[in-house]
Amino acid sequence: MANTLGTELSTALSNTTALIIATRSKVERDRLLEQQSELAGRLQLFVDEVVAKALPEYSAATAALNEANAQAVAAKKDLDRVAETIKKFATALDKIAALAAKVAAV
Amino acid sequence: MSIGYDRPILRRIPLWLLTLAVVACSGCALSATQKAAVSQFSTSASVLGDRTTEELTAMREDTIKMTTERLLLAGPSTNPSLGDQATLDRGFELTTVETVTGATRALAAYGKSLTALVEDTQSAKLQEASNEFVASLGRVPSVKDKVSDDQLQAIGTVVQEVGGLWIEWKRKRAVRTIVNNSSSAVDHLCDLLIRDFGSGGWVALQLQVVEDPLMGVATSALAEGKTYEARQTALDAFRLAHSSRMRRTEVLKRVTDAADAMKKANEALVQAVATSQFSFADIEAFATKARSLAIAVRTIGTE
Repeated sequence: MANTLGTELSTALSNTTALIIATRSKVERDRLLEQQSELAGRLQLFVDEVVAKALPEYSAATAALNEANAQAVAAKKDLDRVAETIKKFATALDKIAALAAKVAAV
Repeated sequence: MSIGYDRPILRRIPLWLLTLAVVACSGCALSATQKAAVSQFSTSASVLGDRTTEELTAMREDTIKMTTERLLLAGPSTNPSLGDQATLDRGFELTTVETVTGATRALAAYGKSLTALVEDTQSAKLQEASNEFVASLGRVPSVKDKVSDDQLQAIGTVVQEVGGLWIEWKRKRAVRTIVNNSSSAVDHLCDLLIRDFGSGGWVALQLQVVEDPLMGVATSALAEGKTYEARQTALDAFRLAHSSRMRRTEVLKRVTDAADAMKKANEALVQAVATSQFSFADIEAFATKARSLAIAVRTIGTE
């Protein structure tokens, strides 16, 4: 029903604008301009109501997508950590080599 | 100190370890086709998210310009619901644009992070790490004495191969989990974009609320304009309204077409990461719609 109202107001506004463009009469144009202003104002109020309901839905969608995004970023870091783990093994081996050298020197 | 392996065993390590790892991990990695599907989907998601964000920002700028122009041509409106000198951005207020672009930015970021996840940026790091590992192993005195350079090299290859298989297994698990977990969120955002950016949605209606009154006063100014300058001012206003109308008719349609295609592609992507039996057609169709949006945005932006 709400969508029907929006569509009806939109159609009426388009038709009025088309008449404003078509008319040669200043009197008629001024009258149509007032009608147009009235219709645009009503359509603005309609849109305000729709937007007020829609915005929380976008906030919820943002939160859900940010969660997925954070998961993907964390998973990428996890993949990058494999090489780091191997490097840690290398560091451990260096420590073993250093320890072995000390033992051999004693 | 001894590592406990004699040379014959050590020589066999790469072969049996590699064979074992390959057999154990067979099917543990995403196939090239699966990676291509994820990559194409995520690139298209970034395009849809980024271009929609840019367009919403442009719509806000257009609104401010059109309201300013209407006020210049006709003075304040008699209708208090319409934008005036204190509310030039009426309808595309910062909060509204920030909230909606928050979602479209998140969509673009999701696409980019998914792309980064399937791209192989680990091979070079893995090579470097295995080289370091082999060099360190070679410095252990008992290994240095018993293992040849060739054998050390072979160990390095094994480390790299096993590390690679490990990464691919983790990659597949991560992509599958993320795509499955985010599927409903992506679908929901697509539904919002289809509803709000489609014909009769609030974005198109809001643009019309600003555009049509400007067309009205510009028509009046053109009809009554006695000088070249007066008519030029009126025509500048028409040009602004025309540019906004192009966004309303061409860009919004492409956003909804792309969002509609994304919904189908999202379903195909869930299948793609779960099984090798999936249709690439929906993912390609989404890519085509996203490209069409990008072209329209570029064309209107340069007009």
